[in-house]
Amino acid sequence: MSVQLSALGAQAVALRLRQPAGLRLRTGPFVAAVRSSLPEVAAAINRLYEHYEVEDEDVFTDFNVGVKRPAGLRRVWKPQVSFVLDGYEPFNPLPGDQGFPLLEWGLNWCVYGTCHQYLILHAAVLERGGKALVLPAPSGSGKSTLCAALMFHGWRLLSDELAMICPHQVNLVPNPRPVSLKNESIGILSRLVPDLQFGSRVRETSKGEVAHFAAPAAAVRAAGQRAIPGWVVLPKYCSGASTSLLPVEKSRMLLHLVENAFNYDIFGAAGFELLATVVDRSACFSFEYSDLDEAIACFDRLQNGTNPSNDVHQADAADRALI
Amino acid sequence: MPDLSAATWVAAVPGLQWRAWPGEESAAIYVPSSGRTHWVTALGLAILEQSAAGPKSLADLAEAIFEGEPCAKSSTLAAAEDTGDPLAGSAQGLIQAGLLQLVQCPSS
Repeated sequence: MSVQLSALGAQAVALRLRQPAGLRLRTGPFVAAVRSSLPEVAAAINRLYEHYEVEDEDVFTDFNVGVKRPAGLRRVWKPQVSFVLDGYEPFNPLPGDQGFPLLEWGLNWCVYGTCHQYLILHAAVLERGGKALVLPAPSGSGKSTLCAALMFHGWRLLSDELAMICPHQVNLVPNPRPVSLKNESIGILSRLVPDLQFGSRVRETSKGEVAHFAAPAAAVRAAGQRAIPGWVVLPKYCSGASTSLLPVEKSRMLLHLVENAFNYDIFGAAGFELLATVVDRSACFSFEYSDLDEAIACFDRLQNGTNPSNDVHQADAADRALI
Repeated sequence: MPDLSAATWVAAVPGLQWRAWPGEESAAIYVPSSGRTHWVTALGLAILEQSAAGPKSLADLAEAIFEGEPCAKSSTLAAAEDTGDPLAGSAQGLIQAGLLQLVQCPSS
């Protein structure tokens, strides 16, 4: 029988994290057994996973993960943290204050590296009116910033990092987890959502400053509700740029999805057909922005089916030439 | 230039899957033997179609593809040695992607 993490209490959560069975945390369709004796990791989990269900020890776990301090003298003079999966450490240790970000990055790695029942894209996903908005983009494009802004303005978060596509039903599977922001995005979103509470904030990571905030409780509760493809939009934050939403050819968008897929090779021809179907069922755009208020209004119009921007342009022919 | 319907012949080439959408000139092509996916413009599709019958020179390709379009034809022919020529550039891309070889010799 599952119980909400907040109902366990901080002490009980910290205790379960130290036990061999770990804290059995359900996120979307997965259950992760998480182990850590680090107080800062326990504190961040208590703040950022308070609305999630914790399962009993006899429930099957998809991932057995942990974050620990490596043995050795460095524990004393320069502490580090290691991510552990099934008893081995797949990554080099990181500086000691990066335990929670490392756990999040490790969990993402577990999902896109092992969960091949889904075709997984590097993309944020939101939902409104039952339809999914997929934002595929590499790191640094402003994908998470836009996703975070939209999730506070009427859109339901499915994921800020990984779009999981069910190959049988051709829909998007939610896996809402704490949202990660980096560097300037932290201040930008703090200004947009003044009462936003960051549950973890670490400076000087390999990605710069990284902060996590909790997924909205409503998104966590609705994690069983999938969304059908609705829109695929390539986001790009560009300082000072005016808001523009441009149509993108579906064949071109299909290639963008392929380029942003983690496990497309595993699916082979079925992956091509699946992504073609997703594109076929979606309106496809590229989106450039610098003003989040304008961006929010633009996506409101997009969802309402009205002309999403006064500055909608036809895709430039020069943008079409590849081979 | 051919319209998108010209791409329908791709479906007959063994070992290729493709998708195109109404109103769009380009297509996405998947090559199962390599696992690679390519985005091919209308010009690229026209080159593939013309090349399916056998190897052709750039001049022959230009003649066939731009038939009835004298301005485009002459400019393309005049620029045949120019690396900036879109026909030559597109053909080069198709060779690098392995698509030209596939349509000329589907069993390879």
